[in-house]
Amino acid sequence: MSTAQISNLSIGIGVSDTLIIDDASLSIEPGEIIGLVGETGSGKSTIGLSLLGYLSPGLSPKDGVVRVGEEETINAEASIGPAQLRALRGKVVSYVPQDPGPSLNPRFRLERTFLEHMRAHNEHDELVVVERRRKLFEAVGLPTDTEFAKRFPHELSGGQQQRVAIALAFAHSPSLVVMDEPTTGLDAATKNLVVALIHDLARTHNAGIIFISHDLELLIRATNRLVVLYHGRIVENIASASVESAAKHPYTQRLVRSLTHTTALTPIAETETTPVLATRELSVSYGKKEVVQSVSLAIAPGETLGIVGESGSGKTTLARAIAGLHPQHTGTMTFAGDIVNPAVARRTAEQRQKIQYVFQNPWSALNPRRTVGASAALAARRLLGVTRSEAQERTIAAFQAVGLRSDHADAFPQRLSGGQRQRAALARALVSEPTLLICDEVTSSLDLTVQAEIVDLLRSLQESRKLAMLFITHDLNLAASIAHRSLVLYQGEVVEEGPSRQVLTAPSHPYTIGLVAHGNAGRASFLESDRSVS
Amino acid sequence: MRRQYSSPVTRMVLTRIALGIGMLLLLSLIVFTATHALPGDIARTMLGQTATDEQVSALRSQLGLDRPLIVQYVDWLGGLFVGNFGTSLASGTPVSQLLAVLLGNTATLVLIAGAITIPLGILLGTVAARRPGSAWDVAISGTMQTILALPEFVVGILLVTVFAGKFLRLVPPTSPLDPRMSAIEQPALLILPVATMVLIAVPHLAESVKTLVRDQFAMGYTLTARLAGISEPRILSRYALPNTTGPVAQVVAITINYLLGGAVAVETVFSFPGIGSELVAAVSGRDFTVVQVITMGIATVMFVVFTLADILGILANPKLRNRI
Amino acid sequence: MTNQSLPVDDPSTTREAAIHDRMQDSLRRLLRADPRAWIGGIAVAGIALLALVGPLLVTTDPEEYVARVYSGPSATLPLGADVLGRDVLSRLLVGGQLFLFEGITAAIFGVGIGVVVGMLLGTNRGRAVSVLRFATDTVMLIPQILLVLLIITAFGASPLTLIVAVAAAQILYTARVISAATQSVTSEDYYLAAQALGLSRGSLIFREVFPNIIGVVLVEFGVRLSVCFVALASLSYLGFSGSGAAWGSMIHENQGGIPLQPFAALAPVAAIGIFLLGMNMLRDSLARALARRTAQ
Repeated sequence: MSTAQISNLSIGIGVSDTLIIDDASLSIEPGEIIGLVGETGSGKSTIGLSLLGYLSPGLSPKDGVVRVGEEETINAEASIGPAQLRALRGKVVSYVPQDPGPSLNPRFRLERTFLEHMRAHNEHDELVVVERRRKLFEAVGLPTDTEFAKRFPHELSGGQQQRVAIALAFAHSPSLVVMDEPTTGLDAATKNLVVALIHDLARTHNAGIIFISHDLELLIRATNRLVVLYHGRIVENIASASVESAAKHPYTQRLVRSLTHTTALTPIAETETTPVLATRELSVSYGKKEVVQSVSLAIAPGETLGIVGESGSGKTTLARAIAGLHPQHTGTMTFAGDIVNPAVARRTAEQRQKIQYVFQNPWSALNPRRTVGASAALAARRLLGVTRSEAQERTIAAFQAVGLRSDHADAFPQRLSGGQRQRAALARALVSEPTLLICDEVTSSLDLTVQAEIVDLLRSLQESRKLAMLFITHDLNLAASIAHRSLVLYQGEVVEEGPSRQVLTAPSHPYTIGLVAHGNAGRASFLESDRSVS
Repeated sequence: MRRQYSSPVTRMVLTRIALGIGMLLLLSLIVFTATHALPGDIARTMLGQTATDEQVSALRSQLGLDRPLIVQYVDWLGGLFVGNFGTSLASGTPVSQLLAVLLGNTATLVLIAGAITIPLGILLGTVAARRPGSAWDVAISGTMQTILALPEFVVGILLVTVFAGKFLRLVPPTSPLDPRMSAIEQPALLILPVATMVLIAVPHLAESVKTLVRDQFAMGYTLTARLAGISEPRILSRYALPNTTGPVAQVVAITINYLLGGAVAVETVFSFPGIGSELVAAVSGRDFTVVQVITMGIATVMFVVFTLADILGILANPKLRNRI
Repeated sequence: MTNQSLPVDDPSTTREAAIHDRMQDSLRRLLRADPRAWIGGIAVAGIALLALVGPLLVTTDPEEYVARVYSGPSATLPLGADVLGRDVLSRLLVGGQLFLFEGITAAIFGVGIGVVVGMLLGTNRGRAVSVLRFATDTVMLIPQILLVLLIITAFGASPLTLIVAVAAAQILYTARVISAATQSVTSEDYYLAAQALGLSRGSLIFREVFPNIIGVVLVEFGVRLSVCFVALASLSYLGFSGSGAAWGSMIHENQGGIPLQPFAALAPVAAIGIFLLGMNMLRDSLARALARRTAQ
């Protein structure tokens, strides 16, 4: 018998006809790990939570049944009583939330949280609870001592919080575990540990696991079967190993294509020309804390330099310092040979025009009270000093260059999709004809297929306009696919620098080696290495 | 090795108290400046236009008004510290003597009202938060919004009209306390003023508590607890409510502030002899020594209340209490 | 893969756009559909009209003795006579105009100055905001009515001093709300992008900040307008009205006669009560509509 079964499930918003989930069917076998992938808003989490009989406020089942074991958790015809659901949740089917920090009660020590979860299903015996906690903490690679159990959630690292959340989900050895993006926000090494752990637990508990993620590459490695959601429909249900060759739906094919364009660039020939931008011993502080230490770099005309690092490595701070948006720094910076002022407001008009910045989050980068065209036109008028009508013409040209139609310029940002907004933000940066373009994680808040489009666009723009580009990313592979040279930033320091291909294939610094190794190697080894570390 | 003398919490509490004292000093400066910024002459105002210049200057030197302002300020502030509050300009009696009985009356009124308001407001707010959109929630919110919109005195007058008006005469319409007895010994006269205070303060508290508790139900850990099969009553009592301690302490402090402000109008409505009605009289008579003392007194009470609320918030927060 | 083949129009866009359009015109529709907005609007408009044109309708001198003290309603005196035997209706008709004027003026000045101060401090990273916090916390140590009474002690009670005192008491509260809203704009990337264009502080405030906080300003004005009216009504009741026949002071004068002639006190209570309740409903409805629109 299958662990869980979703049959013809449709979920809608309130009483309207809009469907969030449209006729989804899926069965989960014991010990099976199913990856659930799809873009933001495709209904991944809704499907996952439906297995626990939970629908976000405002949603209601329109059709179909969700069954876990022998019990129903959702039935469009009959409502399931709260007592019945409570008996299932945590015991038969459990949940690992996306963001482990806020999902732990900040007032409870770990032992108390664990106790609450055990008590929920009538396990009151202290000794049994402590024994169970030790066993699970050991399984997820956390310290088993009492001192650790007395910690509060805020005293743990993000990776530790995630492991606690996973341990809690297995408290009652459920037959099904729903994991909602359990690896988002974790660094590469921790991410792989979590994956190894999930495999281990699925095997030892013989539990079915739903692994929700938007990271296709990770899911291919981590799951047995892959289910692709697109606009609320299940469009693909396929063995993970064969997805790259046998995917049928165009969306899945696009997803797969977005994975495979790592064609590392050759560095451009070194010449004696003045670099577009150079920094010497640049150190940037946030308040009293120095987050970037003594970075020296140079970008030649027409060259793309990748800056690779995890969140917190100081890469965005470095980029903003270069753009003059974070003036709190020491060291020197030259643009085309001239010293530039730390603060953008005190730079020359030409420097402001020639250095342009594209932000990570297209939802925040455009003033919601102005059309995207007006934002670009304002940049043209301010930076180039051109007339209103010429600014208009240049705006239209820039919009066409980034693959938007001219009527997109008349739209307010709220009316555009994420990818369109990022293109519009790019148009605003290009309208002043810059020579240096700083791209700060410009693809990271976009869906996978859109990411690939933006990267292709940047590459073609860079070539056709001979732009010098500073490309900031957390993804070494991505950097290799677009940057001629890359440098790796770790805790504010440059630990590796060289042609991107070399950094990717023959790293020298231990951190980079770890980064590269964890990205590609098999999973068994992580568990070993983790155990030996902790 | 240097010894650690104070924990982070002690340091935070001390900082908070130092900050509060700074605020009180700033406020004393504001109060002093405001009451001395009179366009006219206090002595002239007191004596009336018929007084001769000699009389005015005699009074000025008697009151110490001919000294430099800074000396007057330091003198006044020093007096506040040692309990020398000066003399009422209107009656000539020492301010401390004038306010002693009134202070007891107002304290009785505010304490009783607070003792009812605080538990009631927290209870109603929690009930309304539990089931958003339920009849309870709608009824509570509707009533609260209505009362919240009205000035204190209107609520008082409406209560008088209903319970002490033409048809019903359940309680006395005014509360002229007998000064020979304490307020608590005259309970019938306390009913309407206390009821008015409770009515005006409960909505404010309940609405804020409702928002705070409702926010808790939107937190990740309440959803996680729910999805782990933990029962709803337990989620409320062990997850949602304890996490609101700090913010609720703040809201309670603001409610006390509200009660103290409300006392001004409520005491006037019921001719209740207290600090509030005395303040109104003092403002009318421009009896600035009394106004100064009452204002600084209320500010000091609120300083203590807000500081206690902050300390409670610090102690209730493991992140602050238990920093490693 | 070339640029031209890229699917720029993903299917979700048209749906998003449609929802957005619906939301745009729905601000008006939401207000029109909400009975609270209707009832509130009628209540506010009715009382405001009464206060504005009232003085033109008066036939009896509001200060003249016309009947026995606290005589009940009759054909000539629809609302009876007050504590001094004056016509309650006439006094009601003349007593609201100044009140209305004072409240609106105080709110405009209080909120206006508060918005400017709030935006200046909010765009000024660093000490300014903590200074504002300290100042607001200080002033919040005493209930607002005490702050107003303090100013009245200094300058006496006249329409001008009342407006100044009530407006002044609002400034810091508004400044705090607005500086918080401003800071949430300045932490957005589009604000940084505008800074990178080398725009001046004034330009940044008027082009980037203000258009994005209009909703907050409107709601804040609604809140402060109510607070100003409550404060002025209370002051008038406490005897600081600065004019003869004011609704608040009418209530105070005739409070003792409630068992005999309730209309003398209750007519102005009704006027003030209906006005404030209506304003509250209207504001609440507006705040909800705005919140629902920005949520999109």
